[in-house]
Amino acid sequence: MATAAKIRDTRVTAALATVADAFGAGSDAAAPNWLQSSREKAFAAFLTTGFPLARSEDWKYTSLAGFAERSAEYLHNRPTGDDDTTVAALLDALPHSEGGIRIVFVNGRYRPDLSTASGAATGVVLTPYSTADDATGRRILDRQPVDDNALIALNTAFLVDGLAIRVADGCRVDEPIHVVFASDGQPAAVQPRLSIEIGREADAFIVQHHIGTGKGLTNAVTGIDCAEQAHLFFVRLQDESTQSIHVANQIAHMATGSRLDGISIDFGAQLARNDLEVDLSGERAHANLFGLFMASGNRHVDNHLRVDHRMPNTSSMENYRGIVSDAARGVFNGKIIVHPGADGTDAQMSNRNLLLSERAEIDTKPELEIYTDDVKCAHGSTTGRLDANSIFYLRARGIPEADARMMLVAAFAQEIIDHVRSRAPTLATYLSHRMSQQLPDVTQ
Amino acid sequence: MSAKNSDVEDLIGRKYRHGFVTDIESDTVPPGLDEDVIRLISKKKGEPQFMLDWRLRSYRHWLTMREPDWAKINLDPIDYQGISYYSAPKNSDDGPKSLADVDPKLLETYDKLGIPLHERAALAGVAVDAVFDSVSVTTTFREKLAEAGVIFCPFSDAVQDHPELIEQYLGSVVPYRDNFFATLNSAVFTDGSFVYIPKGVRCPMELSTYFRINEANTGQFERTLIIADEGSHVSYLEGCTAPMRDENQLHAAVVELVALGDAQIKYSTVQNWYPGDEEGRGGIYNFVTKRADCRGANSKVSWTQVEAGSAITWKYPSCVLRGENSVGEFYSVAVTNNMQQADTGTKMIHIGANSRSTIVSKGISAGRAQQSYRGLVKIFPTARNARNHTQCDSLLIGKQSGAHTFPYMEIKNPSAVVEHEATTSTIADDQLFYCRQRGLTEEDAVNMIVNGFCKDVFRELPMEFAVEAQALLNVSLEGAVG
Repeated sequence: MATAAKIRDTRVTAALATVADAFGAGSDAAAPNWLQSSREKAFAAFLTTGFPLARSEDWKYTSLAGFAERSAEYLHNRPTGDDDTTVAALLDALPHSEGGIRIVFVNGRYRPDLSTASGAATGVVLTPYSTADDATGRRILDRQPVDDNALIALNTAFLVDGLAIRVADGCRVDEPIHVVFASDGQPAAVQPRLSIEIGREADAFIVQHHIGTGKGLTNAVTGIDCAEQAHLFFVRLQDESTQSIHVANQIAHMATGSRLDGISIDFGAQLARNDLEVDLSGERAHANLFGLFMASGNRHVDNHLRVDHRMPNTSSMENYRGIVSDAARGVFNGKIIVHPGADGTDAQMSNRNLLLSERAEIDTKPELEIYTDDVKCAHGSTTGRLDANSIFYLRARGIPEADARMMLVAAFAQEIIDHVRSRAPTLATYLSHRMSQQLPDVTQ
Repeated sequence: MSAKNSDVEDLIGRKYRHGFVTDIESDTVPPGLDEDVIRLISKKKGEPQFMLDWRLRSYRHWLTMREPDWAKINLDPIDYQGISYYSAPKNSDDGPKSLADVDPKLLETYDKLGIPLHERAALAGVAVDAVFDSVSVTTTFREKLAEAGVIFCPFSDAVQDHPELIEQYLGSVVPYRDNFFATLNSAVFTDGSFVYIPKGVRCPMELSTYFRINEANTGQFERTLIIADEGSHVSYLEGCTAPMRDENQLHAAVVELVALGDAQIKYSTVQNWYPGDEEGRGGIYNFVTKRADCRGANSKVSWTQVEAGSAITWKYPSCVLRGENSVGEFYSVAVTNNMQQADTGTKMIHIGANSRSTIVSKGISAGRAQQSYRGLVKIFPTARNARNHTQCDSLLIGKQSGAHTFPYMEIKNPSAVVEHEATTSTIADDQLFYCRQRGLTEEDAVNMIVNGFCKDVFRELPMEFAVEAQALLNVSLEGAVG
């Protein structure tokens, strides 16, 4: 192993000891009672595995040394009061919610005063963890990941609040349920948690939106459970400050005939790592997963995606795009696993990356693991710069080269954002606007 | 090679034909490995001091290493002390001077393998270096090659006759510390082939080596070194077989290719080691390190492989594209059936500007076999305008077969274009229906489809070896189809 990796591993191991005391110090007084036993179980699991090290295949291209050290530092801090001026400014910049449901968490805690749930249709139950009684809490926990991996275990161990969304059988919610996790930049290790349960034949649209300022630290976990024939349209938007560290896990279980449309967008963070796992555990379950990440400066954005086809006639389609400029680094790892017996599986994965600078780097690894023969699986990956023919085409029509280049980069990103438009035009417009603010300067 | 149905008859429905044992008295050292065994090997081969030193350095380093476990294979622990590290036909101590001196039994063995040294040499103009267990038995056509200045001889002869070349190039592509199996090979390798093509020479004939493991409980550790000097050109083919035995046998080879400026090397492999029986008993563990160094500008290395045998294959023929405008190619057909496992692929390391690489990998997995493609395409910041295209397809035959793809792409230059495509599918019912509707039997239809699937790679095999490729490609897909 390279020496640099060894040094990082030493830093990670050193941080682990400090995190262990933080748990012992009992900074968890605010957590609901029904969480206690899960927190302890998760913490024990976390101590056994520790932070992932560089030699682990899943962390080959991304070091958690910075995350571990910041966790060690922040977990000891007592939360202070929220900086409401900063938070108000952050919230003001958000798109006006289209149906009126907006639930806001600041530094990981539910803020009823900033939230509006008045527009919620009957059949939609929103339960902040901090307000749940023991019976409700246990029911929520039943369906939630506790210690599936080290980061989920860490989230559970230090969990104080979260949101459970339950959509009753047959209920259709057209308006987005907009869940905002804001951090005001105080040195706090925030462990957001979102639990989503979509009933039989129900249909919902949920946006998980992370915003923040300063040197934040977020370790988010989302558990998604779709019952038979359910449909979830899920947008995860990570738009944190470019100094923050953001790691996130989403685990989705999809029952027979259910469908997930997932769109995952990373605009922010110094270090962003996102793990999305979709378990197609019922026949004919389907997942459509789109992703867009933009990294500039010396930022590092890593998207890991895993789709398990466990039952016959399941299908999935993944389309992830990255735009990497300056000295930034983009990582993509997509894994499709077709388990024995999952005959009739159809899985298609595509990853395309634009590499716009001499110092930037892309590491991509689209994987297939297939254990039965009646499948149609394909993946494709391309990495390169802007196509000279396209630039020529635009220039031939009188568009200056600098504009042509900007147009092409924007169009590359816009194709992903457009998948939001049919369901939420206002959100799509907001995303386009944020995207154009993020565009790297490619005019030379 | 044109895709004819008969190609696939070799793929389907034949038993392992090379599973005989040749009854020749052998000189085999007792199993076990320590420094004394290495000294003994070196002494038996009369090697100069630098070789012994290199072997011992390798061995000492090997002791500090751990067997790699990242490949997607299941294997029982290998007992490295249970292997005999040297085995040679007994009467070869004096060394055969010409074909007439070679033990007739050995010649018969090669005959059974379909390598008639005399005829083949005459018909195809092919020079053959045949390696039997650990020592090279005979090399045909040496004189004719010598006229052109080409050196083609057993590795041990090269150590005697051209020590300066060996000292300069040995371990320069695959260093002795490279990986567990390459390091073991560096310590104990017994023979192999050596090729040197002088400046500007186009090798007048195809060169070829056949490897065969005969003795039980021996490992075969051969080492091939090919140096193509500036502006030269060579095409080289290796083929491998082994007897049927219930125990697993280890084969850990190292192949190093050096291509200097404007040189071209085409390296083709037909690997048909014994794959074990239907239940996965026996078979060869084929753990091979193959790497080419395209050192000079405009150099080109092309790997073509047909991997049909071995219980477990672990091999990644690679190209280090150091020279400007250098080209690396990898064409592979891998067939696994029954309980065979293969974790194979390639690495293309782009360092030089305008370097280009092409990867075409076709995997066919049947029965309960598991096959993985594992590849790396790495573009260094210096590799301006580098280009890679990878096409990687798997065909699955049977519910319990598996095919996996693990491509790594690491890109650090924006002017590079890297493309990867992979598909996995089975033979579709509508394809079969289409063929059957036109009067083909199901078996012929499957043959035709499998052939079409492999065509891109078969086409890359040298014409002269088309016949041998067919003869050696007799993997039994029997019972897997229909």
